[in-house]
Amino acid sequence: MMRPQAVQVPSFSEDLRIYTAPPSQGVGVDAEGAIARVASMKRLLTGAGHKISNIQNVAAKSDTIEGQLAEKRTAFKRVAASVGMHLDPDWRNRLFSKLDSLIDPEEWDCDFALPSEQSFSTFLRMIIYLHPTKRPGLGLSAKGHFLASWSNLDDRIVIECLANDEVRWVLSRAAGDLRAGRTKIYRIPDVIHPYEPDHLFRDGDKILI
Amino acid sequence: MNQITFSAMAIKSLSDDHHVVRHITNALVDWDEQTGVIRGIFPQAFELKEKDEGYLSASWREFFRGTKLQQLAGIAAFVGKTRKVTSKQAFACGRVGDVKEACLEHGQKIRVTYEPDAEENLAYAAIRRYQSDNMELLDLLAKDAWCDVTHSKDVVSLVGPWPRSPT
Repeated sequence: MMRPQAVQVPSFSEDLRIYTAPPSQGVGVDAEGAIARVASMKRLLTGAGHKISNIQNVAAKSDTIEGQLAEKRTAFKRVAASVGMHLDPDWRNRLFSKLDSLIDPEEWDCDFALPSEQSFSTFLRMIIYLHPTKRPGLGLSAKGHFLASWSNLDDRIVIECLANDEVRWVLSRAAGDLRAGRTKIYRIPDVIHPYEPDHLFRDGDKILI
Repeated sequence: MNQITFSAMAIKSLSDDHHVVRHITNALVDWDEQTGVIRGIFPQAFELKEKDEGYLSASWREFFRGTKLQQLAGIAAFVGKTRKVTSKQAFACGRVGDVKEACLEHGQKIRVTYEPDAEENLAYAAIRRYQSDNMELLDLLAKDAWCDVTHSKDVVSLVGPWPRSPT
């Protein structure tokens, strides 16, 4: 009797090997997509995009919640600035003011965990990898995870950024689809591909990063 | 805006055609950054926290008479006793029957009960037998059952002075 084979989930390095293989003679749309994806993966594996993958959560030192939130705001802006070359300057400024608003002591809910550096790193690496041309809505969960949403009319995807490039996602469409899952950032295009999500992430010819 | 008279602090199930209101903190509102308009609520707004002890907190809208905004203003006054209520948040209204139906779609037979708290919130309601580990359900609640969302600035302007912080 044959033993059932365990489900094999390709790793990042396996993905990279597949997508970096030389294109066949019949280069078409799929090959162009693969080439673009390789470029995205390389942005994650090299330079500043790679450096922020090692960020650890840091316990805030201040005695007051105001001081702790100020430490977090500063830390997140420093991290975002370190990958500034991958972000549109206007959006980077808006991201900074959104961080101010999300981590505003006047609005802070004391039942929330302090926002996580590792979650923020996943968020930035996801943006670098997906290179959306539409700006996401941003939020924070009570667990301190960064949330990103992209909407188009009644269609929406919400991605919750966890540590170590992991995300929880949920996608709903007016057509009736409602799907959710958990994956790594570099698998997002694959897992949501069946739901034709391009209109969520793309905004005409605009360039975000 | 008058309080409905009640004689006992007994727990009772809420009618399907009544409404429960969730106070949504700024970070869980999906704002349109260009216009400041609310695009929706993040699904995580319906996630249980450790302190929730296995049930979701809400307020019973029909505890108050008046227009929807007046009812929400009454709720804001109660909620403000224990939570920060500011003009950069939201109130999400869900019809009890719709909330129950959404949960049932995901195999959860919840109870929506009125549980007045004489000290903190006389309109307090609880969503019991509820589990929040299903992202599809959370999204269904955010985008469907609880999608009637009101900007808190429209509510708190009726009840000054704001912002109020817990006492």
